[in-house]
Amino acid sequence: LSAALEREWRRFTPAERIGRFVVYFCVVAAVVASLRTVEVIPEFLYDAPEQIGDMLRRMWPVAWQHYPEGVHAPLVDSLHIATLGTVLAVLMAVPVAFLAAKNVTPQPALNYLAKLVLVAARSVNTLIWALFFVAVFGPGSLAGTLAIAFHSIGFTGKLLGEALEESNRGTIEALDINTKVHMVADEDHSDMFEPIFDKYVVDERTAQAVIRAAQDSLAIDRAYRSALATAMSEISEKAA
Amino acid sequence: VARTGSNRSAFPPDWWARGAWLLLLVYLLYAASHLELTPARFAAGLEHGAKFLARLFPPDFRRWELLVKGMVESLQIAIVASALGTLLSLPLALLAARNLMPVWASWPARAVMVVCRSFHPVIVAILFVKAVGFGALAGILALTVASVGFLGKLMTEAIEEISLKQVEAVRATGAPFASVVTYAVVPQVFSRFVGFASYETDANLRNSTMIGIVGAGGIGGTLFAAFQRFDFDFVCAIVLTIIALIMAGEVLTVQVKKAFKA
Repeated sequence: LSAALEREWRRFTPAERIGRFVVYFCVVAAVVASLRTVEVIPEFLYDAPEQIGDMLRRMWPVAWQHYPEGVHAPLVDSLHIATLGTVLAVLMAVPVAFLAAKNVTPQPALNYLAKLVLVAARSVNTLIWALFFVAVFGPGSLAGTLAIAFHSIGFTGKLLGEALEESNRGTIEALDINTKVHMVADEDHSDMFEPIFDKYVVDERTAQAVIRAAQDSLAIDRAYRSALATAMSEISEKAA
Repeated sequence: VARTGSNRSAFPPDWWARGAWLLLLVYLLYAASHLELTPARFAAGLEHGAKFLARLFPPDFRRWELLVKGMVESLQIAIVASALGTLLSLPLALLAARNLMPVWASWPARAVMVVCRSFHPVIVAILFVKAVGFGALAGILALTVASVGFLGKLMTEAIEEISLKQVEAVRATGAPFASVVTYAVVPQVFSRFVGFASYETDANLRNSTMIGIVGAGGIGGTLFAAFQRFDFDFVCAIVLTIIALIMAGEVLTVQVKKAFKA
């Protein structure tokens, strides 16, 4: 017992502790190095309270007379840029996200290509995209809209791709099966249902319950339902 | 027997939703009309774009000293701002957590975070350029403010989600508040805090390459100057370097998170 009491318990393995120490060390080293070398002009800092006071004094009172001719139109433009940029980003991100999701596109090469596109779009800041589109289309909202759209592809596509990869397999399977049932029903092979229901449906009440459940379940179209109902009524007549 | 041939559709038309989509479409068309995108402009734009791309390549790394100086300054701004922001947001997040603090303490702390978060870092940088002049200090202060706003919010939420059972257990031993925080709160949130801090460092790295455009230090100033002088090959060199740095930052973030995954 004494050996067990004297044993030193540790929360982390030596490898984990070394890993953490390396991170701590690098962080401290980076901060110290940055603080020692960054160019800060102390004179500007001493002057700061005065400058802030000056700025606040000149900020007040608010000059609302500039709003109608100077602020309103750009503000509305900003709103348009935001909405149009978002819509464009989503439209462009959807195909890339589908290519990036491993379960939708089982092609590693395409996955990597799509992920590279997403990372690149994200890494280029909105302002750099804006510089690019201003050079192409000239100053104006068009450049802004495209800049927002192209930058947003990165994040929208990343999130959408991850959501696709995490999507529930069961739902997809259910829709798959449903499609197959549709194909069978469309070809009027209603007799194919018989073995299924012979097995599960024992009396008329159960038959009706199953039909109701089938009718109420999602995404069952009319052809499927009538085929199912015909088959069911035949079965239940037989059973009666 | 059954209700054969029911006409009920599995997807009944939702006229309200269709109306809303229609309104959205009308608004988008109206907004798009503000863009003044004409076929002529599009064609001219493609031509300009081709010329622009042709001038971007090959990237010109001959002025690499300027490039390295700017990048190093951006890196310094990002590191110092992230460290300061993390240090400041730790006590602020503790104050703002409603499960540990009374309302009169959490409310002002939350107000500080909301104010810090309400403006884009570039706008905050403009204010600090006025306050402390051009240079890295304005950038550091601007990004610190942004970090406090963002990290504070995330950390507060993390603290509010902890299990209070451990807090209660430590309190029951008669521990003072500081011990409750160090032994009951910090162990529950530490690895998440590391994740937040590394994410914020990543975000600061992205922003520190941009705030130079308004004179707050870093590579942004060099980039904007090169752009205005039409040195597009140098612009390309700068942009490629920024992308490389940010990708390296993303890889590093993943590694740090891996080291602290517990």
